[in-house]
Amino acid sequence: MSQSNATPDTTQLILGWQEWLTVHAVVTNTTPAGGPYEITVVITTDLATDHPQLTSLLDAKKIVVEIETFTDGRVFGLARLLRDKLGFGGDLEVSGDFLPDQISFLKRCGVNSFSGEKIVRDAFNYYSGFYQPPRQGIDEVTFIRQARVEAG
Amino acid sequence: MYQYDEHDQRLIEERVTEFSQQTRRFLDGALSEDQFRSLRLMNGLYVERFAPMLRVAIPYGELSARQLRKLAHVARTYDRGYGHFTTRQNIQFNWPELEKAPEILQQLAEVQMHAIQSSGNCIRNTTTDHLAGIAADEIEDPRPYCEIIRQWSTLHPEFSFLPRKFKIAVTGSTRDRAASQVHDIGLHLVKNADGEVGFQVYVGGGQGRTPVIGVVIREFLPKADLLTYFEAILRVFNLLGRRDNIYKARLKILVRSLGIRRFRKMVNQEWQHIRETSLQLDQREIDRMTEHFRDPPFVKGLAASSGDLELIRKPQFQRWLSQNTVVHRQAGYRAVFLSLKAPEQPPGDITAEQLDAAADLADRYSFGEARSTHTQNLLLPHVLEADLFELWKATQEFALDTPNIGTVTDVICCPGLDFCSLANATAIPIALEINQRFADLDSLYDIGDVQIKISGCMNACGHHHVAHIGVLGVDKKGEEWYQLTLGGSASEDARLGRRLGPAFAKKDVADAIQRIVETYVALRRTGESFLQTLDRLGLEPFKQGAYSLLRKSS
Repeated sequence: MSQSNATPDTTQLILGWQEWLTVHAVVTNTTPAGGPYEITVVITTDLATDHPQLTSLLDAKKIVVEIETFTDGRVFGLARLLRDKLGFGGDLEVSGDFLPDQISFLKRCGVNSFSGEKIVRDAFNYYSGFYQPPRQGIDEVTFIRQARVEAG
Repeated sequence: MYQYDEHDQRLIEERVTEFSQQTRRFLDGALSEDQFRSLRLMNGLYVERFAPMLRVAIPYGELSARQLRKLAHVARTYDRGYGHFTTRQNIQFNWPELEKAPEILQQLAEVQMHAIQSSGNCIRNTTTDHLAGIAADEIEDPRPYCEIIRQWSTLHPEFSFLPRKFKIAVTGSTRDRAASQVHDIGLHLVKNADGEVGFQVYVGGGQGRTPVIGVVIREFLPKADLLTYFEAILRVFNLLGRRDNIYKARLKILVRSLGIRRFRKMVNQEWQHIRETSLQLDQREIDRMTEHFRDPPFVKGLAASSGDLELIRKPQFQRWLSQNTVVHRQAGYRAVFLSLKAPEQPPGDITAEQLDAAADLADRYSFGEARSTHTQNLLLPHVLEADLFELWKATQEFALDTPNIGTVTDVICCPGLDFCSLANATAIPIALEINQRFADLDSLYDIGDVQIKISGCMNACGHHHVAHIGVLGVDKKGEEWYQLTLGGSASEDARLGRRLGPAFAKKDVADAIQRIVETYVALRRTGESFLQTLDRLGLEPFKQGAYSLLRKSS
């Protein structure tokens, strides 16, 4: 996953999880001449969700989750954990083996970026609403129903 | 019963469009076998031994007459004129063409039906007590909660690619008629010391190769917390459940490996983060759902007596009345089973003509409602006692009158090697042989409630682990053999059966079962159930009975 370097001279870095843990303290306490570091951390779905240093990811600008196989549904839980529990507000991208059919599920879990042009082009969205709470906007069926009841 | 609003209707129609496109992409080569398998299973479509199989969801078993007629139409138009009810209250069609699946789904959507999550590694159809809203011992009707769970679990963003399938059953009575303790989550409506109604939650039950009876994870869960707590359980399962071995991927294995205490702690930790979110159930939402399950317009003020029925001096009718009808909590009404266990019929199978007939009977006698049961029968939930004799005569015409509900010939059975690509042995022929053998013996000896359940392989779709007499088909060097287990139960006293001994050859298995039943009849004390007799005497006398025959013949 690229240039790991304890004294980086560029402001944009792409790091694997282990590399990130190694340099995290250094890069978050250093501001190079070119401006603050903009770091992308690449993680996999094997990352333990109770890892004591998980919150360090809040210092990343972007997190990329690599998916080895599209049936590995841990990515959905990981995305919700990063967004809802940790409050990660940066870019959250998935790359690797996922299907266009999964993109709407991933978006609803907080993923906002998808690697690979073809797959994004194929990402049909067939649905005008879902039953579960939305990430943004009020398109949840339950809310619509309640709003209607309240409006009389 | 629940009626769709425009949101529900639009969603299932959008699902049909999506699935049509997925099928098209597969046929065009844009999706691989593996990719399409995962996507089609999430919509109930298998590719079986001879043909695709489409499993249509019947949420918690509720069916309208209109839906029954549509199922008859599907059976007639796209299948070979019949369907098969499953132990999870769904119906499956064994012979549709892959290319026609989207068209069938379009047809089903016209009557508020779908195949969403009737298979695949996702949250499956929620099942319940077929006597919901009828049983006198009910604490509260479970169906509103089933519908709330159905909606929450439908196309869930986080839980649609789980390590393995996930099954939920809900029951509102002290008697468990939903086999809830062999589900990933078993939910029991209970009243706490303050008189408040909430849920007792079981987790980690299941059958398959490693049968496990569920354990209590929470003694009392307030209603408002239902979905947030489910979300916590599912999140822990999704992130930590094993994905390296299909046979070790169910929740039961995770609960067992962590231990219930540790699992409970992890769920609670997760729950604290999400308990106060918008998923918390609003009383208005519960009320809105409950409104859908109000009683039909019963004739009120009838006597709670079937006195007149006893005057009908027809032994066949009296037997049907006592076996196939259940007292209703509304005085003057009964719930009536339409048996799908006629002697010549594979258990749970139903023809298009029978589906149409059931629809007509539901319209005429039961406010247009019917239900599928966990035991693979149909039920007319609300029949006037005064109509019973007429209804009985009408059921005879369509062979829906076999008076065997809850008896030895009310066999639960998977499709087995005749249809299923996983099976090691046939199951249906064994069921048919048992039916024929016991048809007369049962009325002769009044054998009572002895449950026989047959699975054609270790996946245990026929629930053999939790049968009074369980039958498991195994393959031994290309031949079909059958292992028997005794003493299981799927009810409130849920437990696993114990293996009787070496497997029986196909030709001997019905004989062996007959000997076991005869042993029970000979040794039982007055009023003693099969399980009580077995507990009192142990396996030995049953073993002797079953194997004596082999010694004689060999």
